[in-house]
Amino acid sequence: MPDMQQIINFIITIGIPVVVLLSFILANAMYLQLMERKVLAHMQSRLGPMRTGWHGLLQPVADAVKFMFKEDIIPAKADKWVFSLAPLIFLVMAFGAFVAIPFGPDTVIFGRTVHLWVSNLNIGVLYIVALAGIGTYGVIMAGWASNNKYSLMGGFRSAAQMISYEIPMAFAIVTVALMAGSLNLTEIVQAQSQKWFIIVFPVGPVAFFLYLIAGVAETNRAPFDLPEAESELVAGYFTEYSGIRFGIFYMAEYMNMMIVSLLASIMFLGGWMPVQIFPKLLGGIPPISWINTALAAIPPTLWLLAKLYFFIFFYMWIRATLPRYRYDQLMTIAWKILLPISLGTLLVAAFMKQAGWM
Amino acid sequence: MNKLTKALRMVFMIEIVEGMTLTLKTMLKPAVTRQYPTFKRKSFAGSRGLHYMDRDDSGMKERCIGCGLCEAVCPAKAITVVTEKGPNQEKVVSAYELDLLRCVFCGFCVDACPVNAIKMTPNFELACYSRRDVFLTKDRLVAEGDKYLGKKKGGAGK
Amino acid sequence: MTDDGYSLTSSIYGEKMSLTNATEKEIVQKEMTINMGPQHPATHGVLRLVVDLQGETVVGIDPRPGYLHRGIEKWMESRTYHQIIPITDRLEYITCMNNNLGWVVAVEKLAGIVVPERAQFIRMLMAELTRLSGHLVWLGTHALDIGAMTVCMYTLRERELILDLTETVTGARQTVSYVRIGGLRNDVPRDFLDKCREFTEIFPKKLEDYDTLIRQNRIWLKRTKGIGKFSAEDAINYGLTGATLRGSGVNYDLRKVEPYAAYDKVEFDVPLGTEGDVYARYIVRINEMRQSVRIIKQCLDMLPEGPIMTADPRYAVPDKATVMTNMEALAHQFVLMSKWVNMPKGEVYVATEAPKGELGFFIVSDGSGRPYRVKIRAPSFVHVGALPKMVTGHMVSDVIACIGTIDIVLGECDR
Repeated sequence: MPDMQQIINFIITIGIPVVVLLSFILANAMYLQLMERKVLAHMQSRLGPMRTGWHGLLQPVADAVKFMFKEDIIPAKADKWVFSLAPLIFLVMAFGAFVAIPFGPDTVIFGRTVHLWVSNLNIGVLYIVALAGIGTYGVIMAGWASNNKYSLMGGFRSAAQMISYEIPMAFAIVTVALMAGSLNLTEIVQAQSQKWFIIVFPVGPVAFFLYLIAGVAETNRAPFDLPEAESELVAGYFTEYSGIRFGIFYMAEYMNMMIVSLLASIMFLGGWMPVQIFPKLLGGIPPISWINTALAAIPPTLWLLAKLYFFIFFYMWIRATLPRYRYDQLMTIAWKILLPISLGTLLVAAFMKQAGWM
Repeated sequence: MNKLTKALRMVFMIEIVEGMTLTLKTMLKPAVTRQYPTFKRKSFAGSRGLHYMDRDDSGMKERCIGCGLCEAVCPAKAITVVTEKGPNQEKVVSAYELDLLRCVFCGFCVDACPVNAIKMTPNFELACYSRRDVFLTKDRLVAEGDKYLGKKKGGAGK
Repeated sequence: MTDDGYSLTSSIYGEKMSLTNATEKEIVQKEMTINMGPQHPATHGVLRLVVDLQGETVVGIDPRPGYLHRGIEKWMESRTYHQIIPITDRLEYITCMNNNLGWVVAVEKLAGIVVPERAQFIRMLMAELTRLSGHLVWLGTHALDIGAMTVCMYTLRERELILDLTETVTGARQTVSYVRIGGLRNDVPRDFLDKCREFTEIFPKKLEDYDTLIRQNRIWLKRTKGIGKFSAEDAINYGLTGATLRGSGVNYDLRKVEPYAAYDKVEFDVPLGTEGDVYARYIVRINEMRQSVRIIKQCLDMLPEGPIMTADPRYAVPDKATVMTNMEALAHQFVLMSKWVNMPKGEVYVATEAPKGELGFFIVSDGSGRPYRVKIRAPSFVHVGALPKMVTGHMVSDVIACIGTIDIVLGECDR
């Protein structure tokens, strides 16, 4: 029999973070969809959803209700088990990755020191990349099980694309790990307390850029949205999905986007570190120092979220602007451009680290 | 120099940055969308929409004389005119039917009518729940005319 | 594991194999046949393409048009020359004015009708506005197919301005039925010319916007350059017309070659491409839009005063005021509207430069008020025939780019 104190401790250390995290993720996955529609609409001189609630604020709720109540169709010739399992794999892997992400430093709430993570893995980055790799199976399974040629092509494209882009992405991450000297995300953030990795010249910006491109491709978003290129493959691997299963794919996609964005903020933009305007150079001059103090006073978690939403906005922004690559061009970029650059970056980073310039 | 500029544009993705600036600028401008049922565009004077039948000078009956020219000219065969002899041996339009499901709104009937009886309003909101509603009889056409002309004069209609 | 492997392979290549026999059989590599359309987001209507794929590469493509066949040519035989005007609206439903014009020009040639100057200029003005609207729809959908969806929204935004202009003049946004044999339905309203001038000021700036978004964009260039190549010789042999032909560098524009309306009185250039690929055709059409704006501006400056209906009493539709006072006019109105006047016997083929290409009407007249036979030379139909040559050897994504570049509308293709 565990005593009361132990149960309370368990609830506080595991239960509350998980519940908070889950609700945070779900609310985000729902509302990012609205955000995307709104951002795209306004960039295209439209308004987007306006009818459900004030400026369409209830649209995600309406969508969720619709997803749940629509008929869940499994095509007669589909591989039933694989077909049902695919969205779950995709979703679980997306959920799982959040576990390792720290949302801020240890905070004192109600006189208690609270960790803002569910699990502080010392191989956090590796874990997330691994889960993203497994998530690919969900897509391939969905494409294969639908028994639809368009879905199949979507699944294949997605498999090829995700595997190809994982490599430059991983190298960019390794570069960061090298700079930070750790795979633990909290430590990576702490290593950036003096200088964010994005401004560590020259490897920082290059690695960041690589990560950004690979991240877009990894989440299957424009201009790399080939697996679901609606003008070519109808809807790609989830053509045959409907109802809640479709909704799961839809939501998991936004979760993946969040993970990629969170990782980008944590690894390159100093995680929850506040923005400071040239602290060393101009830090002493009154107006700038005041601003810096004010910026530093904003809670760290808010900083992380601000960076997260900036990235997500950025992804939507490029989706609104750019055309789509062709399949072979996509592969060319991954293997002939990004991979050599990422290897070079890693080499330079290793050299700089050894020489003590970093 | 030109080559250098080109190379720099290539490396720094200037053309993509320009495109993204444009989308961002558009985002900050107000959207051009009209919230249709709430805000309606002003209709243009000559728009070809729902038909109506004018009343004759006495105001008691329709202007149509039953010549059947609109029926003849209608390329979609949407109009049917039936006439018969009245009590004083005059021609009476016993039925004038316009099937909006067939109508293509070309306006030929309006052009053809020698007495300016059939006309068109700019009203394009013709959605309805029943097939009966899209089948315009003579009385309905006249009523549409009263509604339209009444609104045009600023009154509440007849 | 092997079973799974085999069933996977067999399904990819369209081969039905039972799992038990799979281990004994050789893997047969066959093309995967996919059916693109008639319901597909990028086939611009109800075009059906049966595409044979080797992986992602297209090895064979078979266009199967006909899903929008309404028997328009047959239908025309039972309508008077006048009544056919709204039917031509339904051919190429994006640029109806050009179809109206094509038909009317053909009929006028058959009957030898002389059309007054002002009507000619207004016809040309409206036709160029419609050409702009047609090209905007093309650009938008083409860009949307390649993934640049914002361009589509921007072009539709500007198209709305054109449609508003069209509605002020003709009373309809798309299916205008505006041109009449021997003239026009009505004169342009007073404020139209100012509005139109305003539009010609705005529009070139909007064209720059589209250029900013895609013209130099590296992804756009990669997706369009070197795709769907057509040499000048091939293009002529395949009967391509319009911008699709001019992209290959053939200087053939019916507005220059056989001027109709008032095209011989205005100055404009015929933009030409050299490469004959998707990008060249894109540039040609973009430049064509600039030329259209130029023509519209000249029209506005040169628009003469005068009647809008021919003076030929045989074919002129009398105006309403005359009909209500003049007995002869009334009688003539009855004849024209109910069965049209007897046309001269004979055959005529007249082609006009519609936004998609050469739109030709071949009319056989037996001397009555209805044509004996009408054949429509629809550019879209001819262009669909060029798809196999254009696409074979490219990838699935290029099929979409090529459908966009030949600029087809199925209403016209299937008739």
